[in-house]
Amino acid sequence: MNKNRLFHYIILFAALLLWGCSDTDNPGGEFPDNSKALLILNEGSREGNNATLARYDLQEETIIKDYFNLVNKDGLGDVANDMLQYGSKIYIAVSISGTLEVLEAATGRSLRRIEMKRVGGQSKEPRRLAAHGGKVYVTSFDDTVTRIDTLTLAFDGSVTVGMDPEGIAIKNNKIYVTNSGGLNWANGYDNSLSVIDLTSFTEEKKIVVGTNPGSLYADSQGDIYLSVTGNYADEPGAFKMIRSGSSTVETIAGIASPQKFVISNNMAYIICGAWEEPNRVVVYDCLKEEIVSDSFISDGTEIPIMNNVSVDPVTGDLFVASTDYIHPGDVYWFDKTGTLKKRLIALGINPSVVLIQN
Amino acid sequence: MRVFKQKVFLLIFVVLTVGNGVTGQTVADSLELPEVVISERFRDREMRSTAPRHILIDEQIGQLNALQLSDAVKHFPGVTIRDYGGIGGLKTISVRSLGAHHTAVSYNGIVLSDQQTGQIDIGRFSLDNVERLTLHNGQDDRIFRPARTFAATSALEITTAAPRFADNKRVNGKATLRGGSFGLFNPSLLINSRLSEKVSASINGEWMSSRGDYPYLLRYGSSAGDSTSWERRINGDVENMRLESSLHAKFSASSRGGLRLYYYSSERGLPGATIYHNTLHDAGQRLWDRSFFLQGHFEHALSCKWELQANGKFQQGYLRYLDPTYLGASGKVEDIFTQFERYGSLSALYRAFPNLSFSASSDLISATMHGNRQGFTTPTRLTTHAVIAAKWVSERLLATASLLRTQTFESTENGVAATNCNRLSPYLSASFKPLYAHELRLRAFYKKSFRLPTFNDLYYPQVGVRNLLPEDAEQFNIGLTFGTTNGALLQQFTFMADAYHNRVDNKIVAYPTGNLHQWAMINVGKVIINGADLSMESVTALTDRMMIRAGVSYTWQIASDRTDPQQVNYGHQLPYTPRHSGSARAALELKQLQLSYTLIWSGERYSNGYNDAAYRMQGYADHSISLQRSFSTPLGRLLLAGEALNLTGRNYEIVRNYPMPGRSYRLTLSIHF
Repeated sequence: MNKNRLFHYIILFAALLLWGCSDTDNPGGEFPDNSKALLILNEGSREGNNATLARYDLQEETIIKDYFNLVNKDGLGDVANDMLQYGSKIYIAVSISGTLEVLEAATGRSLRRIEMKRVGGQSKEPRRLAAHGGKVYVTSFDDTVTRIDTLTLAFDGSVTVGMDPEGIAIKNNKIYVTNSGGLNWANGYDNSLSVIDLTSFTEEKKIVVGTNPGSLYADSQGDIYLSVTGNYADEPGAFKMIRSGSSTVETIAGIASPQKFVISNNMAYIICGAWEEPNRVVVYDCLKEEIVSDSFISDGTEIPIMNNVSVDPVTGDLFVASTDYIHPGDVYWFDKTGTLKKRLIALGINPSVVLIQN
Repeated sequence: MRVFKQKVFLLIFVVLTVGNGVTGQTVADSLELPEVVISERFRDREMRSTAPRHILIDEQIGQLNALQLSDAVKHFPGVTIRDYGGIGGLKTISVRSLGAHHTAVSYNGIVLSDQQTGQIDIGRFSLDNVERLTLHNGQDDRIFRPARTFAATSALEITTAAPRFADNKRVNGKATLRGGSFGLFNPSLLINSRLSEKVSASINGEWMSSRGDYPYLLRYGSSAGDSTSWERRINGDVENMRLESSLHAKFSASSRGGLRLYYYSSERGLPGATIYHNTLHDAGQRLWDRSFFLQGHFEHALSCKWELQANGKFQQGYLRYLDPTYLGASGKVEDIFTQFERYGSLSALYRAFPNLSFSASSDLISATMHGNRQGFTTPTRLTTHAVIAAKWVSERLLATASLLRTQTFESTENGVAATNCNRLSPYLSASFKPLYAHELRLRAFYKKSFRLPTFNDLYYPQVGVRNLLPEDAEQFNIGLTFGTTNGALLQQFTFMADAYHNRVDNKIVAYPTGNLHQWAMINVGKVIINGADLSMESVTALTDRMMIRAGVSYTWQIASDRTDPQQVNYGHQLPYTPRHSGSARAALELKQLQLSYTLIWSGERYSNGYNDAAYRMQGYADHSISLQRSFSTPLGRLLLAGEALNLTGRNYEIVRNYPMPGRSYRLTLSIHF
């Protein structure tokens, strides 16, 4: 009997051991003030619900990895593709969640979650953002560009473009949109650029620019620059431009395998990199029309995969977001000479756009 | 009690004479004493095994509050089931963190295969007619079996009940009707028939459907105070049908054989991950799959020294996936894959000496896959396995050794074929009983094995890489087993403890090679796993009419990524791998009444290979209870069971964003006639 009782105590003890409960993680901390900060968008991974907005306080040098959640007690959503500041508001396009999150830039507070859904309730898969004249324009993979009024924060019309529009830029009273056809990769990409009249908000024409066009920006003269990604097989990528007022597409030589880029103060910072080759940032002067640098990074820092690049327009500092698409990535902060100033480690899955808050 | 004993003797008789599938009568089996009760016999197999072997038999399975195979397998130590929730959700089994690709699943002695994905969804098997589930770490001590079963790193064996006839009955069977929460409807029928003195037949059919629309609490963050909303799982419906028939023949005292026909058809919704602010995200994706196989087994004893067996199988699989909400120009994604496999095996056993026996076995597998995509490669893989094995058995020492050679020959209808493989896999194991007076055994095994790249790894458009190497696994295990009984109150007590060290090299992972659109499979991963498994079982007879059966298992494991010191996750625990996990079960058996309780428990895990707080997932405990009562009726023995599952009602997640059902109920009525 004793032996038996002992055995039951053993079982009971083992069961108690197995019981152990872990306490919930509670990332406490007070709300940050309006000090200088970097806001970093982490796209997250598909079906991960792990898009986050990280905030790096420039004075305190502290990081809050999920600033959106801390302020709003809510999740940003699934795959945040783009972030844009326009006036006092920040707009975040959340693709799989099918939302356009509007934040108050100063506090991070969510002002409105604008639904970006199709008729059946599925997401339109919003991709990239541009703003002009009190409106925010969103490209979506349901082949539309949606206009949002920034005062009412409500839907204000949409226009159908080509397949799976990606990049968007507004210049010369026109909206330019690259039609990637990315979702139709198995049967052939799109190769066009849609030109939309800003006033009438109707598509004026399509210009053939090359297979699978992606990022798109304009310089101050009204010239349009775009990366054409190619089909990852026999058609290589190219960096191209369309001069203001023209419909002719010119290829800029010497920039192989361009990916995302930005233009700031008429300088294009272009992520380049072919298959299994570490990425680099090529700098192109849009006014002089020449390559300034084949590799912006001058101190030997190697970043295998760059997910995005952002520029501080005041200082010329460059923020390169790195990723391996699986684990949380970093943001490398370089000064204008290409020397590493700081590396913010493991911010979130697929870090992307960096906004400087002053 | 007398009836019980009679039944037990009958069972022993049947098991010893008819046997099941490929249960070869080896030296070890003949040394076992036949007059122990059946469950002890299986416990004895666990105790004597040189490598950890865990067995659940039908009467235990009936107390596990389990519907699908995966529910029962969660009770084995060292096992991680990746469960996407609900009846239709994918469920794969990884043993000791080696990955699902390394676990072979066999059905009545013959390995099930999926050359496309390399892993078996064990949620597709019901426990309806399952008599025994066995998990082998390393490999089985029986050496008289097909070569293919030596290849896997670990193996899960499903053995269904063979027909047995009491008295002079010519026909018997079982009819079951089960219903439950979220629209579960699950009838099944089994009919066994004795066709002649030598031949019996069995047919078995089962239907299982469920709406799967369980409610869950969606949490928009992991901190207290984060917002939540109640949602309902959409598109989680399942309709499964299984039809099976088998022939069992005992031609003479020295030869027997069997044939089995199996058909499974299923349609299900793929509810996908729960997406914030978009509950309709995966509302339209569907999956249809059908599988069919015909397998046969024949074995013959030529003399008391020589035995031969032959096994064969033809298997066909069909899989159709549809996403009608795809935003691409086609408006949908539709993939159809079919797989064919032909398999043959010959084995011989030679009992050279009373204590020493040898075996040789040779298998040939031909597998082909077709796809509906334009220019699909249509690969064919011819695999040969040849193994020689030796086994020493005495009362105090059991030792086995085997050497397996595997060769593949790859070909395609379109494009370049993958690299062929030619490998040797050695295995060594021993168990030793140091004291005469006590049932204490010390054991150890070593196994070097690998898993072949799957057809997806090799040929998936844009991602597949033709020159992939197999993924290597190496296992070291030491352990002890202890069993005792005082003959009265404590009828049985067994304890097993094992410590292990595993290494995975050349792990096949998808890797981005330039940007998000350019992924490729590469042999880059390296994992080191250290762990320990503990398990205990007991049967206590409180009175003549009251028994308590209890079992506990606990697993501790550190499975760290050792791929690249430059990577942020170097040295971190693999995703979805708890450091601590376990299970417990207890059943109170009265004369016609059974009350059982089960617990599945897991400590915290991470959903990402980088073990940051952002990816931490809370541990969980899933408690379930059931009450069963049996009645004797003129028609036969009637069984009524009610189960209450996941009593706390928490929608815990095993895989992030795939909530498990909360509290639910099942009612089962079955009659054995």
